[in-house]
Amino acid sequence: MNKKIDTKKLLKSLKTNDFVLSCRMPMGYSYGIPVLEVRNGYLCMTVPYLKYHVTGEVDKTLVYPARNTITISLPDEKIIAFEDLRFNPRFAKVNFSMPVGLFRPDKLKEINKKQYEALKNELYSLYDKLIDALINDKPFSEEDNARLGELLKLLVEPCLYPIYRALDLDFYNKYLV
Amino acid sequence: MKPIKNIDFFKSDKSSLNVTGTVECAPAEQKKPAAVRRERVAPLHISGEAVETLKMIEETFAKNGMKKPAAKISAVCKQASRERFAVAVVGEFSRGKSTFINKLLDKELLPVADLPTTAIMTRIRSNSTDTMVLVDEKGAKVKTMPAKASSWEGLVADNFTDNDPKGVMFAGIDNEWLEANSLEIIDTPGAGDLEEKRAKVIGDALVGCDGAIITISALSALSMSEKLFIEQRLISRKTPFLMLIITKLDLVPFEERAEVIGYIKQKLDMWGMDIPVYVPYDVEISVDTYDGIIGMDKVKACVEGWVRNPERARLTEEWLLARAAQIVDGEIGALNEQLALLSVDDSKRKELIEEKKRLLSKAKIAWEDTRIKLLQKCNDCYSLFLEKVEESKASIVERLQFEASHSNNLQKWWAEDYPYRLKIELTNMSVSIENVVSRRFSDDARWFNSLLEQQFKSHVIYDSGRITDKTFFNATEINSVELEDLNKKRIMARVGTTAVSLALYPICAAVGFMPLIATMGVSTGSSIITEKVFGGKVEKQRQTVKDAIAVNVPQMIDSSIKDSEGRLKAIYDEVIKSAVEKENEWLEAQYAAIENSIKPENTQQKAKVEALINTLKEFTK
Repeated sequence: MNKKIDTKKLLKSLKTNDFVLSCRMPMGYSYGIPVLEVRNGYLCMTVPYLKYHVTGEVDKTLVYPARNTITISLPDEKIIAFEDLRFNPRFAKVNFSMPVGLFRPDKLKEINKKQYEALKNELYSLYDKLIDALINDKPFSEEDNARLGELLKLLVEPCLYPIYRALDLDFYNKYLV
Repeated sequence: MKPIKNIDFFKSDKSSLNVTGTVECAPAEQKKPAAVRRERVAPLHISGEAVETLKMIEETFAKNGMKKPAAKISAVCKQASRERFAVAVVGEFSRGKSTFINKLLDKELLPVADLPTTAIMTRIRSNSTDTMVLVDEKGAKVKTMPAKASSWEGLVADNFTDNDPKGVMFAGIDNEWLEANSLEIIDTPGAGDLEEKRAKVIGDALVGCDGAIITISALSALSMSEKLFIEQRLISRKTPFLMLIITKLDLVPFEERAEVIGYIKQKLDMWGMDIPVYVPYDVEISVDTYDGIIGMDKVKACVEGWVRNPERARLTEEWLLARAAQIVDGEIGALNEQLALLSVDDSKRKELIEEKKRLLSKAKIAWEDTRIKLLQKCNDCYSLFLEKVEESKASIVERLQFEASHSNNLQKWWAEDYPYRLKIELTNMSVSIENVVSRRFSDDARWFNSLLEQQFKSHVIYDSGRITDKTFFNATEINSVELEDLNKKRIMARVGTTAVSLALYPICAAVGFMPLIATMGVSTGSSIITEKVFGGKVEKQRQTVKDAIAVNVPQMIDSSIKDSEGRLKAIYDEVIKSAVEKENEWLEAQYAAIENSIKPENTQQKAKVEALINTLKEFTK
């Protein structure tokens, strides 16, 4: 029987995962929207850990760049890598202690929390569908693909685009450009 | 797991974009409106010069093979680069620390009890899920549990045995205030008459904190040991930000609350401590003068002010450099010793080294001996204190009894004058004993330092301020004595006899028995009898009051001084603790000096040490 991935559940499970806990993610950092990539022919999911700093003002929560990533191989959901991006030469110029932008960005200002959650759920279900398609050779329509791109463009803060670009150029070019 | 077939799924025609370069994220300030910039918590920016200096000191030590001081400086450097603003909540037992933290964070996180709970430090940070992790002394995770008061079951100790849990509890809670201000709240065990390991935990907590909130109970505001704790652990160690909060004010009678706050503020002024005072809970007070300091929102605003204080970096820098200077000073001392050894010829040096080794082997015992001598001095000081208390006790009783014996209205005197007189007497007593004990403590500390200087060329910093204070003796436990208002009764009796005399006049007139003489006779006779009766009663009442004074005054003084032995010891213990720290540094430095001097004499080595001393001296400037 082919295993179906539940992205939302998988991300949630990271919170209590022993390996992730032992990585001692700095407090305040939590998972962001993951990146799907192909490594040596295997499908992997790279989860960035970033920080949102609440200032108390509406729409002025500070967004900090992702500092760590966890990579999971699919479909076995095995953690294959933890990376502290501060030690990655490609991120040498990133000042991780400085915010890079604000939440909510302009494009999200028209929606409320409930709608935002719904969009995220839709995004994750499309991730599930895409993963299923890639692993089990199931269909993933052009419409789904286009919707996935739309949702990513909407939900990923523009200030984090450079980070996503550096995390995986293919994913970035396909969905965020 | 198998490879996927469509390995080029994510490839697109845009893949030719350059990805070999580095990522540059523009800081948000360039994009944000000014209002947000003001609201954002500024990250701590220790000046480049200070960080450079610390790094240079560390490098200097490392280059010269001085690993331990290099590690110490490295620890100081780490403090300079930490991310969170750490605030330690300190105070003696039963000062409402845990209750305060729970209210501050709006969560029942810490267990609240009258007895001391654990000997561990709790570091509370913001986290997306409420979790507590107990980490042992070696940094290994012992237990994970939900962040709530009931999780502490089995972790609280009701005694001070070795079974106390050790390590640090990291509590992560979903708290916006902590998150928004990058705050970490550190809960420490109760200070005061503590055993060593608990005191160490507090010391450890204070080493890395930017600010401290001192909890003071309104029921026993600012005791001697609290004052010493503030001075020696916080002010002298240059903790950048301090705040004093008054707890349990609701337990003070309504009309006395304002007085308690005023008293604490006045006392801080008198001691020259510029520390803001707050009352964290909404308590009703008879005056509105203190509206600006009442309420948890005021406490939070003060902490937020610390975090955003433009002076923060300078104060923290000052604090870090002061710590670094202490380390450098100790090393300069040891290097001077080494230089002295290198300056003599081979044979003399060997002789000196042997002598030093011999002395060092005895040094530990000598340090111990010195400390025991200081403890003996402490006992002597306590004996002197008791002697003075006894003297004062007798003279207070004598003075008050004399006043009682000359009072015309004993009942009024006992109810109204006696408490006030007693307060004055006890205050005077406190001041006079303070002078004697302070002088003795200063003498002892000076003696201790001269002994250290003589034997080890070392000294400790001590506080020579006040030891006791006016509240040390409190006139709060006056025994109740039932006294009749004899003046009133006497007047009543006089009115009675006059009425009888007047009533007698018409009767005698009716029977023709010399009414005037009879009336006067009865009136005079009854007055004499009344005076005699009341005179006896007054004497009896005076004796009762005298007896009450003789019992009450010593009782009150004894109850006030019951903790004084421990408190006095705590003061001396502070000096001893500093001595232990110095001892360790001194011994380490001495061993290092010997080790380096054992190398064959060469002018190069001497020049190197001289140069190193000069370099280090430059840093301390």
